[in-house]
Amino acid sequence: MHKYTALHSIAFALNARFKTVDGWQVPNVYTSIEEELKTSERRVGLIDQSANSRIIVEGSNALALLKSLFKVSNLGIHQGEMKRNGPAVFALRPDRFLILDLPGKGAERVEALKSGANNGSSLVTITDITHGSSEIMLVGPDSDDLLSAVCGLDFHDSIFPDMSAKQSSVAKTAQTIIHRNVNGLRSYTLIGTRSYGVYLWETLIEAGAQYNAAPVGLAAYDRLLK
Amino acid sequence: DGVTARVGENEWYMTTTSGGASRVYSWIQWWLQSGWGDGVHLTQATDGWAAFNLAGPDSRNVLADLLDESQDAEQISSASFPYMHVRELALASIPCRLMRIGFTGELSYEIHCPAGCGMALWEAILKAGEAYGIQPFGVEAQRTLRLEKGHIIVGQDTDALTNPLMADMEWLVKLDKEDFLGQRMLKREAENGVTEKLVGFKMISQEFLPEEGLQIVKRVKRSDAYPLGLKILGWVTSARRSPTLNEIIGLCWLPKEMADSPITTFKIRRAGQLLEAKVHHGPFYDADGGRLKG
Repeated sequence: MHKYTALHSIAFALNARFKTVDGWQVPNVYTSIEEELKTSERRVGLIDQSANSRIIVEGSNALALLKSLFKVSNLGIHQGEMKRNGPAVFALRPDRFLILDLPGKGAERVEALKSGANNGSSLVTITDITHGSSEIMLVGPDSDDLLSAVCGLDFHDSIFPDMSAKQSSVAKTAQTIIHRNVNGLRSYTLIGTRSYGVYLWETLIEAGAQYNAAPVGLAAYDRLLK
Repeated sequence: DGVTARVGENEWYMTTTSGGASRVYSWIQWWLQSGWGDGVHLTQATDGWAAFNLAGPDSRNVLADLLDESQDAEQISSASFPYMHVRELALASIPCRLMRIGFTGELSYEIHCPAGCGMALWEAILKAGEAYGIQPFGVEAQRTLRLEKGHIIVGQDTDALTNPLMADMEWLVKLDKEDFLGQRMLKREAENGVTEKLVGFKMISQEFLPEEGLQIVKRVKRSDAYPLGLKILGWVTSARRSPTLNEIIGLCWLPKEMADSPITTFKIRRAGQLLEAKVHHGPFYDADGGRLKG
């Protein structure tokens, strides 16, 4: 049984070669790994990361729960952190956190969070938003310039540093924007409702034409990580 | 207009009519942020689920064929899974939330699954249903089916000036609850009585299908107030040709005394002509609900 991200139709139309990751059909290569690496390292690439696990944890005691389970620090609003072998945790509000993890890790994390929440004294809600959201990563030196064309935020590192998250309008859609560089390469991840995924991708490609933005597959992304 | 299911000790799953999701979400959020929100979280889950309506007398058989071997088919019997209940089952190995509800009036299930699994589940349902002649059906067929059962569409058959008592749906309103939004108005209406009612109708002649929104009129003496010699009594909210019943049926608003009488006939004004219709009480099809609740 295959699972399809919101952007599957786009990759299919581009004749991408797919790879199965935890049941998800993920675009592995669009053109060639070498070409896509060049795009990422010299310009800006767009990667469909929607197969990743995404969880929202909400409640006045949410941070305490996350600290006990994942050993994160006292995260201030917008701050993010990732401990070894743990998920990435980002503070969207004092009482609302976004957890990002690898494909297939969601169920295990939700289970652990719910168990921890049930032992607590106040209401903490855990919502797996993996299926309900799309996740688009922009990676490359021009990624902030491309985003500036469709989003009014200031992407200077002093205002929006690495490992931080903000919520804003991107191409007139509500998105959570994560600044998380990949091995020194500037990179931003957009997380929004699944329904807007195709529109957002197409808009980013159109806005990125001046930077020769192009799709990048999982194979090239894995090489970037090494 | 939607269904709310209790899926946990402190968890409810709420569906709404498609065009109303944002409005209902905003409505609840307003109240949560106005002081009712202590200990309540609201999550917009629309994008996270794909949902299908499986409807028809063979729908239970199709479900049975989709259950994994480890699951007992007894779980989906009418006794174990009655009308207006919710269950969580795996269909084609995909975790699903099923609600046995029936907008179409037939034995039917709403099947909700994680959105990414939607295509796989759709294909599995069609494959399992081949033996029963399954086929996709669209909104138009659904709207005809629901009309045959007399099921209303909120916002089409009703508006901001109407209420459940006027729509002949007293069973929906629990006036004996401690308190709820709108209770005072509804109690007053229940005491004073309504003046207009939503009621079914059938066309006398099958020649013309009256368009939704047409006025229901009666002849009066011409005057400044009635320059055409016609007084508006109500209007048509829904109308369709029912292929099952082979006649034109619909819903309309009429003054209470006309709506309550089973022998009332009335006139619908269409393109300068007056078309005759008669009041119909109750569902047009499967009046005892045997197909729906079987």
